[in-house]
Amino acid sequence: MWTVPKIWEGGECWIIGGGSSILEQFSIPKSIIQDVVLQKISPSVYSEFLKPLHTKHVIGINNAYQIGNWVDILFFGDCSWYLVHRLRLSQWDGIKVTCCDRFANRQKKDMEGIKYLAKDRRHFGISENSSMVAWNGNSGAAAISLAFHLGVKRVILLGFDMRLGENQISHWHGSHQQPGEKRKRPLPFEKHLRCFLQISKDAKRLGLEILNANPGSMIDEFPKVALEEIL
Amino acid sequence: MKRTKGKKEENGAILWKKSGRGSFRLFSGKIIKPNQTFHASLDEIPLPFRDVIIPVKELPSEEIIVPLKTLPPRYVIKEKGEKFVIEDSRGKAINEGLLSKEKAERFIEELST
Repeated sequence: MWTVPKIWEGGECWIIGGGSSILEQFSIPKSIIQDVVLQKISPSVYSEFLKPLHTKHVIGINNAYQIGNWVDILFFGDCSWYLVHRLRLSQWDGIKVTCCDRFANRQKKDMEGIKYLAKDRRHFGISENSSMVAWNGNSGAAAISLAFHLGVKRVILLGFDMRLGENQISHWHGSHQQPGEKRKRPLPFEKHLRCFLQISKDAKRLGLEILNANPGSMIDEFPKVALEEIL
Repeated sequence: MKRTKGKKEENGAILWKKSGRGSFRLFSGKIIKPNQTFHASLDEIPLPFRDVIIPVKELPSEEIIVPLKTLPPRYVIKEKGEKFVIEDSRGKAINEGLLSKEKAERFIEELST
């Protein structure tokens, strides 16, 4: 199990979630979005539009590592996501962190370059154990624990929408399904929203400021700010 | 239609069975359902998943592990006046602020474990 060093002590970090709001916020042309959503081109085409983030401390959730190698840390919690992305991820040289239990108790040679933090399943919120994340039922919310362990004083959430965007796409990369494949279960937004009240309580207690950079987000527990105010 | 069974084995693919609950998707996009048998190469099934994705025939011991070649993060310590920063392979500072050399070295060690 990895113990997270406080490399960002006193600073701030951005967490890029999967929500499609970032496409509008960074004025990405619709033709480009369409080609990414249909998996005709790589999400790395978004990189130049997200240039203001290139010098920030950034944690990318799931597919966000594909946007650019300026994403410092990839975090994923879903084991099956790893199977799809494993080969691409092996060529990405940022810091890769998971709470997928399949990486628990493995020797370093079997970790495939992935750092493992255990899931604290006991409660929602932020874990104070720097070898754990509070799972909260979703990777984005779990990554808030990682940001806290890294020592930041402020976290800015990007793409934490918990709703469909105006274009009816759930994620900036389209979806986790293949093009044309229908989703079998309803989108889990309601379930994902349950943890944020406790996260905000823990954040206050721990002196961690959390800002939601999507004013249209369904998460109401953190102050909402317009992107231009903080960039 | 001509049956193609057996061709995948000739290409070195192995027959696996998905045990336990839940489905998996492979790099190819193929969805594997519980109890389904399917062909995949050794490097498609990482070691941490071999308890739920099991080879139908026992693998020869030398074939059990195909190490995945990964690009490890690379860091260098850069001097900034009397202090130091850690930069990644792109020259982006990966730490906040300025550090003593000892602390920079310690962080690199902690990031490398």
